[in-house]
Amino acid sequence: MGVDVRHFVVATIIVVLVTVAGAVLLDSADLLPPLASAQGVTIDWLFGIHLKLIAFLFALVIVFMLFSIIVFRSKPGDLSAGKHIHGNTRLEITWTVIPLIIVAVMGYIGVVTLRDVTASAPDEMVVEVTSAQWSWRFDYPEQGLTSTELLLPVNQPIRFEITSTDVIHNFWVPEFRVKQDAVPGAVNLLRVTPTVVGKYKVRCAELCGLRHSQMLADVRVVERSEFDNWVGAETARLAALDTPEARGEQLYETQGCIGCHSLDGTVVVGPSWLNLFGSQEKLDDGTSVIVNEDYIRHSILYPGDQIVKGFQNLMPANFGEILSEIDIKDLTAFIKSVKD
Amino acid sequence: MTYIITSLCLRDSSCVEVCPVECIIPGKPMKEWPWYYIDPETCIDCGACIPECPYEAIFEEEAVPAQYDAKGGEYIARIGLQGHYEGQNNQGDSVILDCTKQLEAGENIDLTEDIQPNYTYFTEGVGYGALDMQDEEVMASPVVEDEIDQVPEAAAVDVVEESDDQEAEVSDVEEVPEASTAGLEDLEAEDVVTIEQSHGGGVRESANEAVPTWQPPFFLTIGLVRGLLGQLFGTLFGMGLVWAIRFFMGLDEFWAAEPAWVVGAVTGTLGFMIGVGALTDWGKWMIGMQAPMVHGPPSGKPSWFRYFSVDYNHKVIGIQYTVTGILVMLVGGSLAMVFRLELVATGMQFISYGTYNSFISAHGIIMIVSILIGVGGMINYLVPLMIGASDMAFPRLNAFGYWINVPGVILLITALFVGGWDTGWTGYPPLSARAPIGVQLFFLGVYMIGLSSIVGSLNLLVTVARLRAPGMSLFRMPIFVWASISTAILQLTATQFIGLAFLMVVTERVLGMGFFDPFISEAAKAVGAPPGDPVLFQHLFWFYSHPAVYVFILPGLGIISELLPVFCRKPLFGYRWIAISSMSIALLGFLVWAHHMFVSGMNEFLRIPFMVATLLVAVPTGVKFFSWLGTMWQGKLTFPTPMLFVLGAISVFLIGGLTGLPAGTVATDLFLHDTYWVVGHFHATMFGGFVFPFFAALYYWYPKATGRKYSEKLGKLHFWLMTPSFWVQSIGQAAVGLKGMRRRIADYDPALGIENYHFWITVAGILIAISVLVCIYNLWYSARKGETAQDNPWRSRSPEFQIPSPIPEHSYPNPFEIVGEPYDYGLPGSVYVSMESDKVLE
Ligand code: HEM
Ligand code: SF4
Ligand code: SF4
Ligand SMILES: [Cu+2]
Ligand SMILES: [Cu+2]
Repeated sequence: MGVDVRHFVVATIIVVLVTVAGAVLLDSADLLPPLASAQGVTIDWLFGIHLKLIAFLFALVIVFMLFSIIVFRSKPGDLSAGKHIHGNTRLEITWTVIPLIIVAVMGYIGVVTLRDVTASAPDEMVVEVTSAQWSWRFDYPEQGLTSTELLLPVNQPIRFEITSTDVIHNFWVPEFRVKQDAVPGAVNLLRVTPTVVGKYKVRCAELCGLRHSQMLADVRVVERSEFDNWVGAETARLAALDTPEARGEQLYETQGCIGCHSLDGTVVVGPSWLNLFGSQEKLDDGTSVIVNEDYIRHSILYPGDQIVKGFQNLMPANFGEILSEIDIKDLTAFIKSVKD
Repeated sequence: MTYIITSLCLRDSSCVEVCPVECIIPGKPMKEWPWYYIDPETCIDCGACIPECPYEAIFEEEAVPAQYDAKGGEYIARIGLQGHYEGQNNQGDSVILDCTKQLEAGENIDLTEDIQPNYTYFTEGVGYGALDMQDEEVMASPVVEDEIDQVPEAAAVDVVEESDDQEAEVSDVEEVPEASTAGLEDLEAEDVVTIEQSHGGGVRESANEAVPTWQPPFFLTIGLVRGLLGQLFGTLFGMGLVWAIRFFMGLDEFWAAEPAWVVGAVTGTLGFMIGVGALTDWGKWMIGMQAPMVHGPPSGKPSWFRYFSVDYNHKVIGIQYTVTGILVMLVGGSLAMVFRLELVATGMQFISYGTYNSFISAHGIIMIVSILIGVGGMINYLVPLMIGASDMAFPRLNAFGYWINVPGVILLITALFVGGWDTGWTGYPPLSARAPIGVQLFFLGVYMIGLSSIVGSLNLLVTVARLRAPGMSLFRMPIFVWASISTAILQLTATQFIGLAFLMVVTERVLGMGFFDPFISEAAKAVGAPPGDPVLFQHLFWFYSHPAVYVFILPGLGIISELLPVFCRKPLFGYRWIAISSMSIALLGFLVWAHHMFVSGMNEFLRIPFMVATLLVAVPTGVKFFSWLGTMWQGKLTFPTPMLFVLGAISVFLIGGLTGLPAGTVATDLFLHDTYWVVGHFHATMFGGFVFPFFAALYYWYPKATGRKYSEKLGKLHFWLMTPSFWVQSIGQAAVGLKGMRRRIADYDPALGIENYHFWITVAGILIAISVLVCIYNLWYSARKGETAQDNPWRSRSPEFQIPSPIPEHSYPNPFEIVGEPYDYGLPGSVYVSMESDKVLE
């Protein structure tokens, strides 16, 4: 066995050892958050394959590099040259073709896993997700409910229909693994089957402006019976909402007003509603107005027209399409009621 | 001293033979100096040539006329003229001259401008190749009047290059290195300044008397200062214009800030370019004036002057790019330091959400710009040297391409002061359509810098296509040149798309064009306008921005391939495969853009072809890695600082490439997209693909560029501070990403339990910053105090290492020829370049 061959064999053995060690290390390290969806199983499996590939390629390059650094370093004062080889076509073809095969295999796996992750189920439950700077609203069309908390029955395939009322957001629950952009003017689908009862958070994953980091919503995955109870209770509560103020408060929470307007006088993004009604507001063109029913209605429908001094034109402009006239009256009644 | 008046000379060469001391020589390069000159150093004023000239173009010093009265029918020749002249010289050879004009009787030609090129040809032009930008004392030394005629000796050598007879010349040329370095000491300020004072000053005085002109104070002659003033006035002018128009239109809010800033940004940039002088020559051509190529440092100015003004030498421009790139990187890095400290703990410590968002947006784009500028620096400095071109194909365009970056960067920085912007460097609408005004300056700044990419890459492609040394076939080019053309192809063909996309948002904001706005007004709907499409923007944006990341890394990978053989003393393994892999990465780069949009809601089926194309990029990238390993295997490795950075680059780029794999398959990317995994990924690719190789290149060519050695100790300190820190930083970023850390968030949930990780990422970031400061100190200090460097400290075969350090103004005294393979280290007796001597390297 020549010296060259011996070097090569030794390096190869080290590569194998380091690959195994790396793969075991990556495998045992607790890298990902807990898994809570059926789709995530496929994703974690594919990620595991990637980790093994990474361990191998890392070992291959790093070991050969370190081996050369140590074994082939030149002695001080030695000005001679290394071995005169220009290359080796057979070797080049090998390390083009083998990666091509790996790419083909990974491509195939990629297609199959994508199919698994996006597959639909016959008994899907629809949840409409509407995002706005910087809040989430969840509509359950089958149950006729609206909520700011995402409540899901465990092991129930869900089809999220995701949209946005202003800029692009992204619906992501890390424990479910999958994510999907919420694009204004479009409805994007995302399929998730939650598998573990517990509390999670929706975390907006697409930069959406000032309070992007705080654009969260609670997620509760519950047993079927608990979900049904919640549906019953909510339906009853809504039916019992008979005053305009109560309905207005409900809208305040579900339509996202709560994201920007406080009820206790603190300024978040827009003016607080505390003692707002009847007060005098200075506008940024220098004039001022008395806050009355007309002004409130106008501000909801055409938020850009009259900007209160010191604030920016950040309120979504499409509430006219979402709210009915009755909703606006209810909201106005609620605003009137916010007094200390 | 006797003068040939250049515009009267029709180069029939009648005078050449009669000169007893052979001091009449034709200008070189011909395309820029197509006239004959008298070497003032050797001319003995015998007057023999004067009667020989059939066109009466030669005069004694006292007799040089300020103007010429045409008799009618004769020709003058000047750059910028359009006419064509054909005639014969006294030996019966035909003479063909463009740039001429036949005069009419009584026409009066001003000759004073001929004097200038006539003497600068010798004082600063190719005549004195040895007289380099080097001597710092130019300003300090007093002008000694009585040394007027004493012209330095050493510089004469390469002026004699006219001879066609190669053999006869060898002895002359071999002296060049010693002669020119020795000459440097003698060539003190007095000499230079004196020449200007005596000849030029003397002649110009007469012109000055006729038209008394105001002499601006020194600082106003600095191009950068004039440019900045130009930008200021241009901006004010544009804003005023908008306000005036809006006022006369009777608009209520005629003082509105946004349209004023938009127009002001554009006119300001124009103002800068006019002020700095990047448009001057083109302007002169347009009105028929001549604007000859000025060579060498401007006379009577300190040596730093040319770096702050428009200069056409590619080495000067390369250094301008490089230094600007480093400065811009410092700005972007400081922003990162601020938000990195903010991220050490959960909760907002000392900046607001708004500031945080502005800072990450600005950090992202400013770093990207610094990379683009750094890439421009490496390419401009190195490629002409490597292919043996005396300069880039279009030197004026080259200067334009550099200078347009400066107002662009100023716009980006100004954006932070007019409200900032919170869209990230990606600027997706509708968010960018409603972001603060800063976003407009961000868009326009990027637009200007994009112009630089386009003209720079065009220039490079023409240079490589047309100006390679004889014998340099495509597969004998240094491998860095391959990397550069791959990059240039990407820049030339893709940059338009980001310009377009950004401009569309700019107009959407100021003119209400609803390209990307899904919620159009009732009025627009009523007339049947379709709603805009936010996803369209992402396609346009990434069609540039994905290729752009390969623009960042290809030159860096080229540097790795270029340096490895030198420090392994072994041929580059699989040269052709590496060259082709660069090209295929570039081409594949056009087919993968939508891998940034797997979750954007674009057509579902598109995800599959883009996934496959993305995975395919691994193949040529793999070829590069394996070829590097093949180069190291059985080499004789040494580890000076540049080699350390090369090895560091490979290790870091490996992390970048491997973290890219899971992001490439759609299913896993649904999890990884927009998390810190991606942040870790692209930092590793950009550091491994650009930052580390850039530092390697800085150290490697530093002795060539400055003539001095950098401190090896500080260089190694830089490396050992930066590399482990970077591993910690990028592996830490990837890890927090897996834990659920989203990208671009000002604050994170304590429940994720990643505060510890963030602490260490920040520590690593600070160490990286410190290491960069160490590097800058090293480069700065060594440029002044470092030991003198050898001509070829690395025993490289590359042509630029076969000429003196620092490289003379006109790099190669004579064109060289390629007679071998570029990387044949270890093959006894082989040579790559043959300078006209038969000197065998090694
Ligand atoms: C040449 C060096 C660098 C380049 C080219 C670079 C480039 C970039 C780019 C393009 C982004 C994306 C910005 C965005 O998503 O809007 C980014 C983000 C980031 N960079 Fe760098 N960067 C460099 C150095 C650094 C350093 C030294 C640090 C400090 C540790 C750093 C920390 C970050 C962080 C934390 C982010 C993510 C910000 C966020 O999404 O919240 N970068 N960088
Ligand atoms: S004047 Fe005499 S010495 Fe000078 S260049 Fe003419 S011929 Fe030569
Ligand atoms: S003889 Fe006249 S034309 Fe010929 S080189 Fe001398 S000056 Fe020019
Ligand atoms: Cu968001
Ligand atoms: Cu990409």
